[in-house]
Formats: sequence, C-alpha cells, structure tokens
Amino acid sequence: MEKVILIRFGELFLKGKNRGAFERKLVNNINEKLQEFSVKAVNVGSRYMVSNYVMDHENIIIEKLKTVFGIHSLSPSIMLNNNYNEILDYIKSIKISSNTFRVTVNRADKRFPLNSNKLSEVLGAEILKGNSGITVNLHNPQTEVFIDIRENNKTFIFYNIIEGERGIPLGMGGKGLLLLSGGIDSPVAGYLIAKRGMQLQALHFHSYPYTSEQAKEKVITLAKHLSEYVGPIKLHFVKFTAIQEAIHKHCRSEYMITIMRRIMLQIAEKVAKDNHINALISGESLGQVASQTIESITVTNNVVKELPVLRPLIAMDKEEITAVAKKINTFKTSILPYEDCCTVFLPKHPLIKPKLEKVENEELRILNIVELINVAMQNIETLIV
Amino acid sequence: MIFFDNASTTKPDEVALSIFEKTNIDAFYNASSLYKVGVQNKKKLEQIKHNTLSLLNANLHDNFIFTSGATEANNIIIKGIVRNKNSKLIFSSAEHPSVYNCAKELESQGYNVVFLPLTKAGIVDENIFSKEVDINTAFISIIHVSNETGAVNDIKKLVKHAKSINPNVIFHSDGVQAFGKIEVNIRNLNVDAYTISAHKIYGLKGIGGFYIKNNINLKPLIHGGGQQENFRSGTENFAAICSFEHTVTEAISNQAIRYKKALDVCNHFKSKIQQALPNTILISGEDCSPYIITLAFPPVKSETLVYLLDEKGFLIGNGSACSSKNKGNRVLNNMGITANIIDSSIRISISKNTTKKEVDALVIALKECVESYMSKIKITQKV
Repeated sequence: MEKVILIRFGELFLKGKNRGAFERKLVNNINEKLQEFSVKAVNVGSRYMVSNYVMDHENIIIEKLKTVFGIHSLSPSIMLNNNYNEILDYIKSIKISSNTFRVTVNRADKRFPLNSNKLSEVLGAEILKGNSGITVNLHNPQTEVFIDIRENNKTFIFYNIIEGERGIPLGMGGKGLLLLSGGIDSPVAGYLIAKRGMQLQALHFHSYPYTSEQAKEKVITLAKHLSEYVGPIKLHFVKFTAIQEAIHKHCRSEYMITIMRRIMLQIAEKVAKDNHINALISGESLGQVASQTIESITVTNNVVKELPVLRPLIAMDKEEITAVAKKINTFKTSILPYEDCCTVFLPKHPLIKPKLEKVENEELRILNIVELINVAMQNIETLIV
Repeated sequence: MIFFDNASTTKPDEVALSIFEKTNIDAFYNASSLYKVGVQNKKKLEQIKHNTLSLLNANLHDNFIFTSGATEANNIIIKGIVRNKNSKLIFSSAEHPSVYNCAKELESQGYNVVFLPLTKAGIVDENIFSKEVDINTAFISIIHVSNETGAVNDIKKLVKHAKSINPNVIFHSDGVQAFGKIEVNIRNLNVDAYTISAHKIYGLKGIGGFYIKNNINLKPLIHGGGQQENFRSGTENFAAICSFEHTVTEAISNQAIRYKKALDVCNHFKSKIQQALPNTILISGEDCSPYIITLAFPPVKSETLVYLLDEKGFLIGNGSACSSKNKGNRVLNNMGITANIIDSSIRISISKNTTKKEVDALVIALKECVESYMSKIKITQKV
C-alpha cells in the first residue's frame, strides 16, 4: 500500500500520432514543476502518478500540479495491487465520517475476477459493516469511494477528483510576446494563450517620470503571478517617454492613443523577431474602450507586417475577464492605482473610429520617429521573472 | 538627498535612538513583573506618564496612554468613546485617514455621523460648527493642524463653543502635526482627548499616545493583560516609551525657537518660489503651520513632479495621485479647490534642521522641473 497522486490527461487523447510528443512535454513540465520535491511523474497505463514524496508536501504538490496545463484532473490515492484480498483488507480499514456514501468501481483491467457492479456491492457491504450509522446513497453521497483497477496490475482508491487546468502542455504551441500593461486584461490574455501551449515572453512600455516606478514594480509582480502557471518569463521593458512626448508635441491630442498603440505594436514586432517569437498577444476586448473598437483595432493592427496578433479576450466581457484574473491571482495587483499611462497624455476625446490614411498622415508629423524607435529598441531592459 | 517630506516622518535624532537601544539592553524587563528590575520599569513608566502630562500642561490626575502611534490612538479614542447610535458624532472633513476612516466605519454601522465642511483656508467653518453642535452631540473630533495644508483650527475656541452648547460633549483633537511644532497647552485648549506621535518630531516610529481626561469612560479596544489601566493591553514598549520621553521633552522645550526658525524658512521659501515661478498657486495660507506648505504648479502633474525632483535629489510629498482611478484629494476638494490644481498639488514640509540654503536649492530644482515639463507638454487646459 502506498500513497500516490494520480494524474489524468485531458485533450491529449485527441492528438493522434502527435500524442507521444504532447505526453513527453507534459511529463517534462510536471517534472520541472516538482523539481524542488525530488519526485517524478511515472506512467501507469493511461494515467501518470507521482509517488515517494514527503507526506507533508502532498498539498503543495497538488497545488503545483493544478497549475500545469494539460492535466485534466488529480486524485490523492492509495495504490494497491490488483488483488481482491488486498483491496478488501484496505476497504475494511476505511472509517467514514459522513452519513452517506457510495462505492464507484472502474475496472479497466478486465482480467480482474469480479465485475464492477459486483465489486461495488461487496465492498460497499464491507464499509457498512465497519461503520455504524451510515447508509448508502447512490445519487447524492456525501463520501464517494472510487476504486480504479488499472491494466498494469495497480488499483487506486481515492475520494476526490480535483480539477486540473486542462489545456495543452506549455511549449507545444510556439512562443508569444505578451503586451503586458499592468491592467486587468493583459495577464489574463497571457494566461489563456499559455493554456493553449504557448510559451510567453512579456513586453512593457513605461514612461517614467510621467508614470511611477511603482507601475514598473506592479508589472513585475504581475509577471511573477503569471509565472506560477507559465514558468519563468522573460520581461522586456521599453522606455517610451521620449516617444510619448513626441506624439504629444507633434500630433493632435485625439490621435494620441491610436498612434501610441501603433508604435507600441511596431516595437513589439521588432522585439518578437529579435527573440524568435511567433506571435504577439494583446489583451484587447472588442468595444471595451475607444481604442478597442474594430476600427481602432484595424488601424493599429495595420502596422504589424508579419506576425499574427492573438487576442484571446476579444469576445469576453469584463466580468468574465475579472473572474479569470481573480483565479490566477493577478486581480489585486492589477487594480493598484499606478497607471501605465499618465493622465497628462490622455486626450479628453480619443478617436473611436480612426481612419488609416488620416492616422498615417498625422504620424508623419513626427519627423524623427524612426530614430526614436531605434533608440527605444537599443535601450530595452530585460529581466527574467 | 534633501528631505522635504517631514510631515510624513522625520529623521530620528541620535539621542532618541540611543536611549531606545540602551534601554532595550539594560532594562528589557517586563514592567508587569514582580522582581525589582521589573518594578523599577513600572515606576519609570509612571514617572514618564507624569512628565508627559506635565509637559502637555495637563491635569496630573488625567491619563496618558502609550500606543504604537497615532493611528492606534485615534482608533482607541473614537471606538472606545462612542456608544449610542442616536447621538450625534461630529468630525471635520480635514481629518487624517486614521480619524476619517473610523468615522466612515461608524457611519456604515448606522451611527449618526456629521462631517463639517471646510473654509477656503482649510479649517472648520465656525458658523457651521455652531449650528451643528447640539445637546444630542456626544463626540467631536477636529484635527489641530491639517496634515494636508498645515491649516490650524482654533481648538480652544471650538471647545469653548461646543461646551457652552453641550457641557457633556467629548472633544478630541488629533495633534500629530501640531505637537512640538505650534504651541500645545492642554489646560488651555481644554480638550478631553489629544493624540500625539513621536516620529513626526524626531522620535521613533512605533510609539505615540494620547491624553485623556480621567472622567471619560473609555471602553478598551484591545483586550488582554490589562496593562495601562486596561485602556491598552499589551506589554508596554518600555524602551520606546523612554525614548518618547526624550522626544517629547525636546519638542516642548524647543518648540518656540524652532517655530520661529521654521516660520523664517517658510516665508523665505514662499517668497523665493513666487519670484522664480510667478504662476505658483499657494494653497497653504498665511495662518497655516510654517512646517507645511502645499502649493501647485498647474498643469504640472504632482506625481511627475515628485519623480523629477527625486532624480534631482529632493524628496517631497504629493497631494494627490496622478491617476484616473484615484481622483482628487478629499481635503483639498472640500476646500473648493479645482481638480486641475488638486492634480498638481505638492506638499513641501520642513523640519527643525531645514535651512534657507536647502530651500534655495529646492526652488532652483522646482523651477527647472516645472519649466522642463512645460516645454514638453502642450497646454490644453486653462489654468
């Protein structure tokens, strides 16, 4: 008898011939996450398990596994051999503290002598014998005893099925550069796309002294929270002050945000290429603010020449986004009052439906824009969070 | 680095630090213990309490309770005094958050809370005060010197007025920015409770306290071993209290001379800055404490000015955050100051050690920062 954590996969079954690669990646990711506990995931039929860990670490290992993309569910379990007497002995020792229970048997090993109905009946009767005052409730039991008899001669007994993150193992979906602003949306966008297997780097534009050092610290904190799910993140900081001042000085104020975002995307594409990244990721949600109307997105998207801009939040509303932000623990940091753009640069009436030609003409007023972008590119500060 | 944010905290003087350290080594004993060295500490605590009351010129039969600072003191006083949801509780709109948020909390619990509006000078409007105080008023809390503007409320007059309408009203004043800076004489003010803190007057953080008249029925907020006559349980921070005694003694004995110097430095700064930047808006008026000068250079955002000055080696406070999520400033807003000036307001606060030379350097730095900002930013707002 041994205590183990049983790990089930999700969509990996869909992947046909690629399944091997996905599975290897997942196991690799699990092992990396659990490195500090000196344990490894081992295959048990169509599931994996983690064993030989210090019992005090069980909860924290489960918490870590809950952040691994590709895991469908988890169960802390007792592992026995597929031996009727061994199972029976264990079942006899079970003490159930609730009033009602049921036994659910899954017999994957068809060589096992008793079928699942018969087995649940017999084992249920044993539990009733050993626990006075409890009754069976098949439909809504307070305690459910799961018995999973696998093909590899191992039986797992557990009481809980803990939901995993699901999704696709990190690293199977290429690399993306997340535009991380410091607000609620962008960390959520990063999380959602990483859940599709994409590895992340992040890019932040800051305009000290118009915005604070705290705004920068806030972005680092957000990246740290995100790294719980996606592993260490390479975080690039672009000094945007001179560009913002130039736009402010030369262009009409209503164009400020549109032009700013176009330049940010141009820089982002350059950073992505320098780092061999396949896509840009933005936290835009259609219609949320003036800069996120379809006309604004069209005009800003126009500057990105080669890479796709992925917008995982495009059809989500604020409540849905906020719920995810709370789940991944970025919400509290995101709502700190340090902004990514000082109010001094925000126009009273930004363009809601910008026209590409007019915006391009307006941009021509900044004569040294190429030079400003080059300077910004040369002064990028990168850290790993 | 020159520090102009002395209203937020001050650099502790070396004696205050050394007393703390020495006492912690030589006399670390619990003042509630029975052995001699413990009893000695207890005696010393009594003596410090006595001295503090004496320095405040309060009745020696009254009480002084040591706390971790002014926030705790204000919480103990307000929450320990108010009882009846039907009686009226009056607060000024200029209260420090440690008073204001207690009042807000009481309001949310269904207490009858009234916030008094401010005059343009940032003090309580005496006419409105007179109208609000009635026989049903149980408690009043008015800040002595505003931490935002340095505006000084005439506490003596307000107490006299309130007591003439309702002799049973309990009057508290938060004196954190007043004590050691302007004259504070409890007998003269005739308040029932008064809060002070050490770290605003060159003492240590983590120690402060409040004066309270002995006839006031104060419910303890913190329950425990019954220390300090059960008003504030918890082992007394003996070393910090010994250091506090030094801080308070120094503050009282040097108050008048320091005030004179501060006034001189303050006036010097005001005249220099107006010469250097004629569009300066002085929010702190003539009658304010000379230790706090709130001013604005619209449309320069205060937050940006704080960062720019930081880079030049000057540390100042900002009146309000440059943030659309955190609009304005409660106190300045209540004084009727417009949003663009509030967005631009900064707080310069000086210490006993601030010199005219330092102020001159600050004026030069301010001029450079404001002019550099203006050269980069198009002016779209009317000032």
